Amino acid sequence: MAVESVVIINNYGKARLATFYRPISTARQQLLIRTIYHLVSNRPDEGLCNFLDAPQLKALLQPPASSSKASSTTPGIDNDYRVIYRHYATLCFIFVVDSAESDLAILDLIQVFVESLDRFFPNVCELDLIFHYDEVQSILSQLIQGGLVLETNINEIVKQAQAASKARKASASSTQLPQGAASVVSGNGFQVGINAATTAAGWARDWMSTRR
Amino acid sequence: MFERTLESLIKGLRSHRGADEVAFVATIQDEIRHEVRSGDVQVKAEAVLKLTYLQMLGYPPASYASFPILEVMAASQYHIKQVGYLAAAQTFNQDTDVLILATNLVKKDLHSSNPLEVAVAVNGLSRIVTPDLAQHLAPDIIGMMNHSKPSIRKRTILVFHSLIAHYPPALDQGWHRLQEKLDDADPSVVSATVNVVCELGRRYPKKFLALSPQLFGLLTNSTNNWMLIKLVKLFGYLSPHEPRLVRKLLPPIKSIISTTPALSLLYECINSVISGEMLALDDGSGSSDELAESCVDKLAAFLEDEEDRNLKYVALLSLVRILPTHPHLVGRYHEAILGSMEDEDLSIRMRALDLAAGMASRETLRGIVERLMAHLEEPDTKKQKRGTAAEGGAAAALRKALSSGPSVNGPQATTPSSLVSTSYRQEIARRILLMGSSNTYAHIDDFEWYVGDVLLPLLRTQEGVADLVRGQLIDVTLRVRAVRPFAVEAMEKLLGDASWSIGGQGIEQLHALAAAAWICGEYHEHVLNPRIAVDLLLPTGLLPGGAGDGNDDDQSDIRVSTMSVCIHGAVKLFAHWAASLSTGAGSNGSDWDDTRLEEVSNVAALLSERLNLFVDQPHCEVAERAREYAHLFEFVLKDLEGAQRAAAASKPVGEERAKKQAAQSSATPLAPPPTDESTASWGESTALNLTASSSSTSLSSQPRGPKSLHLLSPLFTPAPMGPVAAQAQKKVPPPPHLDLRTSLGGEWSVVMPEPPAKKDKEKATGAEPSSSKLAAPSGSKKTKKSKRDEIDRNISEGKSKASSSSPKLVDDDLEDVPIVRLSLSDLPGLAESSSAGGARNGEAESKSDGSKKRKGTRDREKDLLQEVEEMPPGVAGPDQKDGAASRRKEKASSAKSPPSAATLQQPANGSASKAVGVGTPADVDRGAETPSPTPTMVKKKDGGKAKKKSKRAAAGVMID
Repeated sequence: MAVESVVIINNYGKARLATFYRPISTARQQLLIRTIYHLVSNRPDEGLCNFLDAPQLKALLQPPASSSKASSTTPGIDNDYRVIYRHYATLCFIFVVDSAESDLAILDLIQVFVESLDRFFPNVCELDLIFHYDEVQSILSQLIQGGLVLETNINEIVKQAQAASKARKASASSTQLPQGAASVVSGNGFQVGINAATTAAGWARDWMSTRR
Repeated sequence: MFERTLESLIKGLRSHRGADEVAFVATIQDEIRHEVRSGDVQVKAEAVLKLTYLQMLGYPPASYASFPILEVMAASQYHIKQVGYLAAAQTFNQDTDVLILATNLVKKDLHSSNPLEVAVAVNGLSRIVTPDLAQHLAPDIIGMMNHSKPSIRKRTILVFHSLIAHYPPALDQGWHRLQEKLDDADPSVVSATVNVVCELGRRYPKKFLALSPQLFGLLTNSTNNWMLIKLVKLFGYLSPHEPRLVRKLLPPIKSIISTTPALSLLYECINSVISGEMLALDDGSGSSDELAESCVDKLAAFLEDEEDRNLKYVALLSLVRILPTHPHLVGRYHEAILGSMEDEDLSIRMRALDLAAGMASRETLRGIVERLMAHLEEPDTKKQKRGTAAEGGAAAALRKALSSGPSVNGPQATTPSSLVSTSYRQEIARRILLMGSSNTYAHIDDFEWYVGDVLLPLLRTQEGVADLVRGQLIDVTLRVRAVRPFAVEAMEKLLGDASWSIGGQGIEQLHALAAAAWICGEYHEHVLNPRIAVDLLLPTGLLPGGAGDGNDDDQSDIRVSTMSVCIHGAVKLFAHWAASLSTGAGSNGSDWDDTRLEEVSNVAALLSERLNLFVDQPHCEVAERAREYAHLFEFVLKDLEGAQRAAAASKPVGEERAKKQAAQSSATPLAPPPTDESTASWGESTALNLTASSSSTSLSSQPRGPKSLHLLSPLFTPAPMGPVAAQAQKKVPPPPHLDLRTSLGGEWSVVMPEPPAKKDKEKATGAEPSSSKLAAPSGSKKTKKSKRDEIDRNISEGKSKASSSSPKLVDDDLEDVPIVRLSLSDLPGLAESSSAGGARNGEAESKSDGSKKRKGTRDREKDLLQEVEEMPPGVAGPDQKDGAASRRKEKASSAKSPPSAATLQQPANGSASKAVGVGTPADVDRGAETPSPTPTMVKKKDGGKAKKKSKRAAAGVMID
């Protein structure tokens, strides 16, 4: 399993998305999220690297003893897990990966994910993620499947996600629904005091251009 | 009807923050419980979606939800089905029972005509797959790898990896298909295939070597950086298994390294060169050295990149990997690396710590450790302290405080104390200890510094590493002769330090006390003030029952081990102190006189009183030790009392007379040590003692004072413990009479056909010789039979070590010894006692289970007590006294011997108190006092002694 989990939390530690590609108990998921939040929130935004490395993470990241990984060929370095995070406005995107993924490439992958979200929800902000939990999951599933990277091309990801979204709406409206229940919520006038002025993609693209 | 959508749930959650949330969620969960039973699949789906959302927030779905989720998955509408798969992926695990029912459902969706449905099913399957599902669906998935739509082909290939993880045979079934897909027309399908091959190649490198030509073609032709990274990684996994591959790979990889603008690809190339052992290739041209140098240089450039901190971090990661093979190259950047240990970024500091630990050598260790110790200091003391380390940390913090300004994240990030979090400090402490002990302390040139300035401060200030420190303190003191006086003095100081209540309730204090007890007991000759140390080594605070005790298993284990070490250490220290007072060889060097007598009496009385406190401990290890010594002390006290009375009576007559009288009051040999000197007369054994302990002193060699001063010291060997190489053990020949290879099976056929009653008897009697014979050389044994009891008795200190002394040479052999019942007639020495043995065995059998055995020990103690009570103190003649003492010793020894043997030796009544020589007290004591972390240490004398003892035991001679 290359990508162990993808988590989005906001600046107050609330989970906006949490996907664990290896089944682990809900309690442990929460503990991991809380630990990561605690560590991340104690790090200033600027001047530090995007890798989270702390002794207390080690135990949490170890797979359960019965894992099929136990027979992995090289112990030590190979079972090293890395927590890679990036801040975008009010949100923090966290990927937990093992050593089969390139540390620097995952940074780019987070970028791809955020840009895809930004295309899907024009000028994405935290509210979009809050009220479109299932859409975000769907976009993520275009990017990563079962812990492996499926697609890194933003156009392709967005195209597939939009197709799926359209199909969902069509399917929903073709059935007679009471109150349009499962339909996708359109941003209908929430005035919530979260200032998501900075769009993620803005400074993110700058970063990309310096890299490639 | 259903109450709310996911949207209104989220709104509700936003208006019920904090404490209200739990109550709100409870009502929601109640609603969901009804909604999932709804006949309307729409309602059901919304309920399931809400469950999934709540799961993300930390409210695991109840088990009733599994089946509704399955129903939602089976819905015909796409938007509902999709919710079902999402819920299943997020909440199911390998044990979810309804997954058994999912096989046909998933199979149907995989063959759906709607590609979106197929995508949802494949994606869901990748998360919920179980071995069963994998096995049943593998053929479908393999077939679908040729799906007409690239987006489905991609997904299918990825899900194939999940199937293999749960059902490895699928790999062979789909091998050819997978290979084909490396040449797929669609580049993203090829990329996905490479991704899967990379994952699998890591696990089955040999198998995937076959694909190297194809993969190599991709490596040289592709321009997709994502895929190139994966390919380079994959070759890093493969090349250690095929040296020829390296030669072929180096040119393209070198060209990528020198040309690529993508730093992530460059970094992965360097990584693969290192992990793929490509630097080991020696073609004589020195090109591998060149490559290594360019790799390290590139990494160093990363390291010094102040713009992108991520590069600094990954550079440290990779330098750790290249360090073992090219330390000199990494050494060039020594300063930059040490500088990174002061970085404001914890992640970078962690990696720098890794690297610095690897770089430690005899020359650099001290500097590195001192830097790290500075990290551990409290922030306020740190500021005052001069030195580059402290300044670096403070300066970094200051810089950050200035640059970051008011931060939403709170002010704590700007103070150095938060940079040094508790767990980080623990990690540092652990690294220091690892660095110090690496390669048997090879990097340390000044052990007094290591003990005094590293180990002791760590013990006192750092939580969570006390067990390591304890082990190292004992280990270092034991290995390094020169540091012993210093270490003993330091431990004595620690004991006397009231500001840090050693022996208190904390784990650190317990460990400290155990280390002090062991060191002061073993190296008693360096103890400056034994009288006080004895008192401190056995504090009443050590007894459990204080606040907060009893719940913590960990702590109570440590407490038990500490108690047993302390009991032993204190008695040992007393024994040698008393003996040295008598011979005038004590560290204070003063002569014996009557004031000493009082002093000794007081300490002995105190110690005896303390020991009695431990007698009732529930842990038999502690209780037995305490009980044995308490009884011996009763004896010592009586003798001292007599001597005091005599001294008081004869005071007018003169000191000389008093001494003589004191000597007469216990004129005959007391408690001869159960070694070969046991038959030696008083004079001879004293002479031996003196040559051992005080041959260099010019003081009178005539022992003075009551003889009981010498009662205890022979229990402990005078030979100092020293390090012995692991291999040295093999050089100790097994005792000539201990032939473990001889088959004992001759009697087997005779024993078996006998009637049951007789057979049982044989079995019971058989156990005696076999246990004494096999277990004899070790004293405290490790035959399978007694092992459990052994563990039971020694949760603590080093019996494991004890068994490593002489048993080590027998241990392996023991595994091969056929377990055979013996007939008594095999052993001539026991033949005459076999009839008595039969009578005992009835009793022995009735006590065959563990608890009863222990009870047996208690009974014996009672007998012993009775015996002592029956002995009128004043009336007992010297002979009687001696007899009782030696008998008691024999009992002490049998109490220490494996329970199986001990029980069988248990006499039916007190009169036949003869023990087969399974270990002598000296031998067992030695084992008991030795530290567990140093299994390769043995007392030098052990080999010879064990030989003698086992010789005796093997011949079945009763020691009497």
